[in-house]
Amino acid sequence: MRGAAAAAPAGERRVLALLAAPGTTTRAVALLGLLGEHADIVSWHRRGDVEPHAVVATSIASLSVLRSIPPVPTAVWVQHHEQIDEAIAAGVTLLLTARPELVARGAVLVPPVGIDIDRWPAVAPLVRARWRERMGLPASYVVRVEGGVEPEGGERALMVASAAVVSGPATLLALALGTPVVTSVDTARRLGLRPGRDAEVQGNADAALKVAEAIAVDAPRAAALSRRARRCAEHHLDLRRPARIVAERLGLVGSSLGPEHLVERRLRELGLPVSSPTWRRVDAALAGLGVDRQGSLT
Amino acid sequence: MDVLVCATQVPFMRGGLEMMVENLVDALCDAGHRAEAVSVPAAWDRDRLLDAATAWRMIPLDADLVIPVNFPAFYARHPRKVLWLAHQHRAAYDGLGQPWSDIALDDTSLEMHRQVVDWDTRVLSECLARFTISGVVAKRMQTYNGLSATPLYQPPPLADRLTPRRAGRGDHILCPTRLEANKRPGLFLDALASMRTPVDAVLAGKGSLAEDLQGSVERLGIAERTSLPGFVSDAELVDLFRNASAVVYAPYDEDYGFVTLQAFLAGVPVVTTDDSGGVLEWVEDGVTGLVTDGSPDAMGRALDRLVADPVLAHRLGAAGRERVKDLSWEQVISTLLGGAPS
Repeated sequence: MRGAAAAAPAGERRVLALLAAPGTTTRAVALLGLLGEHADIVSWHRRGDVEPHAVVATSIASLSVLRSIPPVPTAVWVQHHEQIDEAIAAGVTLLLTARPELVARGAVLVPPVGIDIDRWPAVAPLVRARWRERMGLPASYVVRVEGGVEPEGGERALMVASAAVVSGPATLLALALGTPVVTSVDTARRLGLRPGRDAEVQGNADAALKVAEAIAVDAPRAAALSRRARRCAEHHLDLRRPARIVAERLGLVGSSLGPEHLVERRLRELGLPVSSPTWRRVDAALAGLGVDRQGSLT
Repeated sequence: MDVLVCATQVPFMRGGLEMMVENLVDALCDAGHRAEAVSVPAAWDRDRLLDAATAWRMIPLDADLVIPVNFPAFYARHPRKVLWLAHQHRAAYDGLGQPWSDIALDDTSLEMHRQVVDWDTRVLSECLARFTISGVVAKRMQTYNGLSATPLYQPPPLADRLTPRRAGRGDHILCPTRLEANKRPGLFLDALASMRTPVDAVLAGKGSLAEDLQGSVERLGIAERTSLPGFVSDAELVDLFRNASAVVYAPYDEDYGFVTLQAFLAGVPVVTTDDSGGVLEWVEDGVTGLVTDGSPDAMGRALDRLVADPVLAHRLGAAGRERVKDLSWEQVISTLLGGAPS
């Protein structure tokens, strides 16, 4: 295997080179946006004298270039089984894919359309009801959002809604927030949503509104839809998770071996947001053991 | 099989949950397994609510199977986790808005609430199988977490000693309960005061309301016929059940309620209220007891009716016994272990 990744020493910022094949660059944009938090990103072709610590290639077609470089940890996008075999033979460190069926062979799923799940808390219907109570909103509150989301009002509406009729890019956010969603056939297809499970799907606007209104007054159904919407976003649409794996496997971040990181990992499994008061309780407990967790979050 | 029963310990408290855990461990051992209870202390105040939950995620549990029974013990991390849930943290669910819930509408409360519901849903989803002690607990999980569960009923403590009296009518009305607000022992006293037929009554149990209730007895003018013995031994309790003409059990939205089942095993009908939760899974109006709207008049009338008509009381009590007589720990164990086939 090419270039076993040594973890980045504390405080050192590493260099990640993007080796983009023509026509495939867009698949890497969102992921690189998150990897940029850990490393300086340079173009392989314009790296000059800089020696990258790791490489991300957008296509298996670039492997011939990789074979000519010094062995550094490398990730490459693959699209089918034969490419996996080829990549393994070439000794790449990590396989990236947009195809869920390739995950079973060890590829990391990077959704073509995704969201940074860590930025958005899961808000269950019971908690939404409490927020509406505080805000003086009706007990049953259905919103309709099409296209994008306005940064303030739109996000808040999706966060407190009993149910939402959503289509287009806003659907990602709605799912991440655990909003019970009714969406269009087209949006469901684009995001790979399973009708009746990840979201309800309706062909016309009036029917969609009726379904959302029915969900809003059906607590068990709303709770189940909310839970599955969030899980769908976490498992199939999250960009943060693959970015974390890539950063660790390519050695862009420090290793997480100490006991304090085990605590952190356990809490991450539960989806604890960075802003949660529970972190303060954990920090206080670890501080008594001489552990400084500050800055260890990504 | 090595089985760990995971429970939360509230220091210096002992109630139905602790008995349930002991009985479950005993039943597992009787069935030939190695079983022990593991408990971790917890605090229920909002700011420390998730401390014990976080701890449970870190505790190594070396066993073939774990069976958590309450919040936050179900945060236990194990590949073979079978839930038998007595209750979640009710202050964050059906108890919202109740005086005993400290989860309000301020920023911190709302964020803690969000996190508890989210985390609960995640860790409950991990279970290989989910059972609850009653239908009402399963319904809450379905309503608030969107997760299904199957009610799995257990026999109550003293089940092997509670039998109907051989003949004759009961000589008192019994209300055995902890003297705490959620059990509403005051309803029992109000009902006694509104009865037209004065009968002897026993309010057995201890709790923080004991002094207030003694005052109520005096104020309501029922001191001569009402006894508040406090704690009673098992033998005394069996006698009290057996010789009762009716049992009153009217907690608010009870999870399960051993008292109902104990009364039925003694062949005694139960008078309750229409908001008593799990009690209503057993007490069917006019079939195994009488269900009232909880007003003193309605409860008093129900008690008058049973005292005046011992044939009716006997019929309802017998129907109640018929309904619970087949509950067994063997069935509980085989169902729980069947939830995680090897």
